Amino acid sequence: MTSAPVRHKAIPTPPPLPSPTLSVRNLTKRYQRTTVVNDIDLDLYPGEIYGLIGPNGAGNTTLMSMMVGAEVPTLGKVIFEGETFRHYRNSPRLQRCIGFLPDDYPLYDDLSVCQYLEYFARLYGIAPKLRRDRLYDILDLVQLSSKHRSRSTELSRVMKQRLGLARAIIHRPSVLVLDEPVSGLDPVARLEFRDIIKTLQRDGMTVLISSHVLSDLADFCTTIGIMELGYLVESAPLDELYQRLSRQQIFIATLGDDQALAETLRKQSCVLSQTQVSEQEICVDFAGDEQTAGDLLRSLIASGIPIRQFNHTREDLETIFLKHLDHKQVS
Amino acid sequence: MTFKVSTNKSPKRSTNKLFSKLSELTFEQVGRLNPQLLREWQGRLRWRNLIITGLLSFVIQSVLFFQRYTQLPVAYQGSHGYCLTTLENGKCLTNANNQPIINWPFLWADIFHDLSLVLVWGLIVGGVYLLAADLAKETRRGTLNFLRMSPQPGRQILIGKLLGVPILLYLGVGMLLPLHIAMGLMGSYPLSRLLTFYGLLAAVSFCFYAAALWFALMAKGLQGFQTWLIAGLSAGLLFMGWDLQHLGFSADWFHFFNPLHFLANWEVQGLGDKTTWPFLGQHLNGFRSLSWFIFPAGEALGFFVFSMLNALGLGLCFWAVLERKYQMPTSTLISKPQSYGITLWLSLIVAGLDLQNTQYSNMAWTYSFSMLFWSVLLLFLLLPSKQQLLDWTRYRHQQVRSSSARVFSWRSLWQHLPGADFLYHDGSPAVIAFAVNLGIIGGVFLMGHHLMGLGGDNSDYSPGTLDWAIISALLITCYLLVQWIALSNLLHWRWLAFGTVAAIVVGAPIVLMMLGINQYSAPGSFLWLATAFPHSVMDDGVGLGSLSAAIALHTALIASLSWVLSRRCQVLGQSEWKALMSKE
Repeated sequence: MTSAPVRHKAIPTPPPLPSPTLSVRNLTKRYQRTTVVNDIDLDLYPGEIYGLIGPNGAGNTTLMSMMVGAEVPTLGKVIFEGETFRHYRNSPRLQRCIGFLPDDYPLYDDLSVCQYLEYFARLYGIAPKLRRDRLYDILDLVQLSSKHRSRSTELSRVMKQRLGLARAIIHRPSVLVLDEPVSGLDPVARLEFRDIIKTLQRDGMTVLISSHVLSDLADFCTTIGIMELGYLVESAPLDELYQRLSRQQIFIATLGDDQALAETLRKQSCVLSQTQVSEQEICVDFAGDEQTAGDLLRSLIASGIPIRQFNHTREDLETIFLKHLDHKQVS
Repeated sequence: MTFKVSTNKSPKRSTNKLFSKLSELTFEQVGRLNPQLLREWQGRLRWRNLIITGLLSFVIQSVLFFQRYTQLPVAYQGSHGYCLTTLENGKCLTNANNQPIINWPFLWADIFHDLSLVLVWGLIVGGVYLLAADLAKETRRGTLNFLRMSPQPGRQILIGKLLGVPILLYLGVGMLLPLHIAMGLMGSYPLSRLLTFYGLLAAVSFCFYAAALWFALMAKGLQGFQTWLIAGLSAGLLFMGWDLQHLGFSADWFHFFNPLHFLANWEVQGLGDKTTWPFLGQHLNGFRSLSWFIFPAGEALGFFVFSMLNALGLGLCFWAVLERKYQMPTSTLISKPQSYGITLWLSLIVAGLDLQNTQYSNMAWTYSFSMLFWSVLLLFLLLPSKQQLLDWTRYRHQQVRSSSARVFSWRSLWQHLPGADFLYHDGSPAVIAFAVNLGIIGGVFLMGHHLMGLGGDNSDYSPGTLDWAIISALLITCYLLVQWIALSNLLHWRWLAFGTVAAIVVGAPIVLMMLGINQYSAPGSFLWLATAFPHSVMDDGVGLGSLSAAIALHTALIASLSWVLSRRCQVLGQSEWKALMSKE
């Protein structure tokens, strides 16, 4: 078994980002003696899907409520497209640009699906000519077209959740905030929900989503923020997060001399350490992305090493999150 | 938009299509004007509900009509209220067919009264219940936040609720109107009086509805019980003004909330001022002599004008605080500037009615007693929550720190005056604002006294003024104590605060009475001067020693409590600021 000292690969400088759609600065919420959200800075860029994760009570819901104007922050400000808002509950401009779906998506029992969406379309002042088209587009998107005459009491939980989502996007907000939208849904419903969110992202909507189903977030989020005890302890693009915090391993099996393989691997900067698993099989700790892994494979083949198996694995988001929590608790 | 009516289909089908198109257009128009109103209509205007409402309205009308109709006298019956003339033998005058001659206008007028009663009680109590229940349900369900987060102004949403939630009640009442108008006209009421009655009923209903919505928002912690509470309170208020009597002091105010009294000068042709249910007593028990300052509010026209202004004024006050509470759910129940206006308005109403008292001391007593109720209520309405106070202390601490960097502007000059935020800021302790309100009440009292002087009453006004000054001092002490309790970390601080105020205002005089403490002796009078009822001591001439001791006690209490409270606020402000600024 051999091991080399851990070397971090320098993270390439990302291209300059466009100006954020929605930012918060020093956002703090204090209830009497308890600080629920503590001095948070956050930027949401156009077309980004930002996943907010954290244990229960970490302050995710309060942060989201402040961002959508449902709660007034104790300190801090919200900046939307360059305009600063402090107490913006009564700011129609911001209200028109943000859609919010809370975790319990309350509905009206006495209205049909169509009436419910029309009502909110009217509240948001959508012109009558546009309203019908948009309504049917959204019903198609959330797959409720066949239920447009049904009342909410006749809908299943999944359908209710989709109706809630349709309400949140009826006015085409530039930022959509979703607080645990998939809690209690079955895997198929979650898969369908993921597709809807990806469609919305393709349409240019910025999405902020909190969830405890981290595998879902890993599938469609571009950026991840980790909250704990009211602090935003981590916020980075998903790829960067994997590079930085996820332990990546490549299992390499060769048909030839494993000493030659070990020697070649030692020369690679992306290989942090290597372990002999068995004869002709080596497991390496790796730093880099898929591209780097591909480059590594190519260089091994170019060195004349006969490769039998090359398997790149990395820790998933859930493991990163749990490791992060352990580390914080220890510190 | 044009309609294209197909000619190759049956006329009935075309009519249906046209009707459906018309209703769609109407709904579209309503939705454009007020989306909330349309939402309420869409949720309620269903065939089943409409049929039930129509049936219920029809049944009520039939029952009321036939209940009176079956009371008509029959042949050979003795004296009866509906006989046109009663003979000397006590029997009804009969016609050629030996049938009693009926005084029909009298019968129609009675049916009209019955219908009016249903109209007033149904519209007010029923409407209040429906509105409060709806808003409580929205709050409980969490949908009210969606409405708040929509760009629609709060006023639009609330108007939509006001007009939309009781729509079935309005329709049911609307179906009563043809019979009501017919009975009124046949019962010798002029059309103008009927229309004025409807106007007054609308104004009073608006006042009750605005109050109900505000109460539903205010008392959301009661888990739905607030619906029954506000409906019960409305019924109680209507009931308090049930008998039309001239009480001669501010309690007469309750009569102006019952629009039925506007129909009291009922004069059926040929019957003069004969009075019957629900208007009891001869000459309306002297109600006609009721006055507000010099305004004859008991006269028919005067009653209408005063009731209308009273209902609209109070309704608009409720509306203003309702809109504010809707937009800012965590704010105090009323703002400080709003409290000044409402207190002035209430003081004028109460003082104007209390001036009916010919005796100065009675006027002073009833006025201070009535305003004591309002002041205790105001104490809680103005009280900022602990969180608001913490935010304000931090803000104040921050302001002091950054005062050098402040940019001068004429616009906000008065707001930057030292201590000005005590007069307008929502989160600041309301002790100064409360004192200003008590001052307004005192000022109106002095004005009332001056008016009595103009009327020839030259009583000494100092006992009444001192009376109110002592009550004010006690109330300020109560406020300071309540604010102190609100700043504590107790879970049920509200109950403790209510208990403390009740113990000081009501409990202390009861204890003194039970102990038989004589208010005429020196130590006894001092103790009574420390309660909320110093009136009796003042009236009988208080000794200078007792008075000085009482004033010294109140001053010392206020000064020490103010110092303790301001110190606590200062410490809280500093610690809040430090807690927020420290980067843990």
